[in-house]
Amino acid sequence: MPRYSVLLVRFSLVWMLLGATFGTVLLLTTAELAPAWLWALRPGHADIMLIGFMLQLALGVALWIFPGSKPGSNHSGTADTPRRFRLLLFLPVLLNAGVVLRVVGGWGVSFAAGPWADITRGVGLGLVLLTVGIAWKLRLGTSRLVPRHNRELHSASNQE
Amino acid sequence: MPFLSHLYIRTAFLHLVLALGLAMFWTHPSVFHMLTVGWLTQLIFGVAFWLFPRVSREKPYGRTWPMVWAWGLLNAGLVLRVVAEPQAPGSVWTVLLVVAAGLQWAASLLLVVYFWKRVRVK
Repeated sequence: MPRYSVLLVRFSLVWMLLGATFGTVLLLTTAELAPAWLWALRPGHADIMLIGFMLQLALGVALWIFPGSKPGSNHSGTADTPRRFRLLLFLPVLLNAGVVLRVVGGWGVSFAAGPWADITRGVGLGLVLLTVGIAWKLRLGTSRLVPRHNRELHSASNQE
Repeated sequence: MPFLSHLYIRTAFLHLVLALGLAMFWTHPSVFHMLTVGWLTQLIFGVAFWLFPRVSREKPYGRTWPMVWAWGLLNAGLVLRVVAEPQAPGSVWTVLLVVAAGLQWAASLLLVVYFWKRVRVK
């Protein structure tokens, strides 16, 4: 598994634990054992679980396991050029900055803190979309996602 | 496919069927969590257990006790939550909901502990 996938998957695990902690606090609020203002954690709980955990895990695994764009390249990341490797290594930074902004903005929205909370959430979503876009451009969109028999036919015709 | 993956994935599909069945006549956050935690999360970790890099040739999945415990805690916590959350707050239901929350959080911790070692540069 390449380093950028390890980073993405490990960050997703950390977010999952934090999201579960938020969820525990929300359940305590439901049980009226925690103050009601802690309901402000709810948008953050959703963002953490859906983007920080699930999307990040899916991205990390996809970048690891999708076949490379060039015939003969494997899916372990060794086929990455140094430039592409550096760019892919930047993805966890970008995505997690987006999640942090979403969570902070979500907290602000719950307290009706004016337009800044919505703007923060919007910028956070922008960073998340930018991350997915870069991953798509660098690897996912150019992957040779073709059935095995088509690949064999392709390589056989190349040899001829 | 290893037994634990089999267990996680089969339980995930059971939650999917139950959640969709319940959703036909009952919309509640606990039904939504049966889908996101019971189905999606369990499916993810069931497949990850099977797919992620092996620990060693002798013990490909390493020490699997956190996964076994996580399965039990996650499902017990989720079932307890579905039962208790609509009734809470109330003396017994409050206690059950707190227990459910604790079980699910402990399951998350065990999953993180287990998969942290499985995810590594190779």
